Amino acid sequence: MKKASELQRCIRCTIPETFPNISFNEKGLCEYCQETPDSKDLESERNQLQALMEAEIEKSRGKGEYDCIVAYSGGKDSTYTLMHLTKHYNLNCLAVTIDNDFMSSQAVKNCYIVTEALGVDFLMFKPAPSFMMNMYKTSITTGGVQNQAAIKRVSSVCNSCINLINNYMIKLALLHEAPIVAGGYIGGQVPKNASMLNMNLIQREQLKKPLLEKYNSLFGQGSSKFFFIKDSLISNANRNSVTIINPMLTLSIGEEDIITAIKDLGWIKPQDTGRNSSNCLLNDLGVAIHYKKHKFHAYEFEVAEQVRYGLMDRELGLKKVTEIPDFSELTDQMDKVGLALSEI
Amino acid sequence: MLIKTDEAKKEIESYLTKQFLFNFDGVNVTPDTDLFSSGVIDSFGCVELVLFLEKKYKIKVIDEELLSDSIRSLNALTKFVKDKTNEKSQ
Ligand SMILES: [Zn+2]
Repeated sequence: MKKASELQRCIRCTIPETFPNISFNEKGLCEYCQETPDSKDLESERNQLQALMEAEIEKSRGKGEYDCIVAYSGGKDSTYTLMHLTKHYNLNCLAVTIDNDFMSSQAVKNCYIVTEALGVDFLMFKPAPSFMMNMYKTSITTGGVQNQAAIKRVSSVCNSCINLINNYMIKLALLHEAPIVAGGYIGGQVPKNASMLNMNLIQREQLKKPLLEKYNSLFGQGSSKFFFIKDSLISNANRNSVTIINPMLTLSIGEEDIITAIKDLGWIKPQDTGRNSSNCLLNDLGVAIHYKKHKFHAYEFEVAEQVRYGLMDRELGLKKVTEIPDFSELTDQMDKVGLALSEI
Repeated sequence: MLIKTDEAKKEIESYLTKQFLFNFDGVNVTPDTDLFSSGVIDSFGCVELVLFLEKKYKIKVIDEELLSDSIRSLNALTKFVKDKTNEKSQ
């Protein structure tokens, strides 16, 4: 098996030959780079997305107990998002963190420090670790509820966690009559028009209902509260839709500038979360397993897009996707999840 | 823009299989399979699908159509695109 550093990669971004269905032209340019507009058009595209999002923000202001529920991981991107929504847009936010039992202790501190500095209400929710460990283990050994296409964007471990987090944020939005749910996703992690999406919750639940049994059989009968929203919660709420926004998709800002900006709030970069995360100690295990199974780094798509759009230096991008964590460094995480190397 | 049903079906099929990494094998997935409830396409996938349809066929998918039956299977999608583009050219 080729090492990640030996793979053929697009000469402009960093996408590798092992990425599903990728093709390169004779110059070595990948299909995404061939279709990417020049920087002027990119800027106007971003401005359009921003205008759409801002119109929705203005429409939603002052309609509930909070304007916005912010999915706050304590990592750099969601910290910047929370700061931007609070300071730039002056929104009344509730910051919500899910403690997955793998948060770096510095990330937990960052959550308290940042929310206090910004003067926003803050909620920390910790599902029982026994449930979370089973969810992680099952996601790793079976692929979990991840659909095939999602492997392009995320590891199976992260995917289950993200589903759980998104669902909880929407529930809180209903409880607090908040019209907006905000995430800190950056380009490449989600589709571009996820900068602003109106989500009809009745349709969302209808669509997911056929998957209920799969969730129950994989993660246990009690798991539906983490992944589904009861009809009665929707029918009793003052709304049956929420607006999902990801403001980072409308901004032209790279990692270094993000970190510089949030340092002023007292945010400190954790030193124990690996190359690709700034809050989670489990992330590297997800990366290592993803690489073993699929032969490309779980962050390929995101890093390639950041590089392609000029938001990340190509050398730094290459570092991020070619240094695959070794299982020998991940024994603590594997023990905690209850996973043997032979099960991967 | 007038489109041919066969051509559109081929284009959409090729987009779907490439983007969502599956095949229409005639057993597990057929042109009538609900791609959402069968778990082939998730909510972000739906967003990507809409982006593709809007860009490729210069149509606008409105909220009510999003996640409705009309875009759930290959056959439904083909009909949807055909109807939408005809509607526009009239
Ligand atoms: Zn490229």
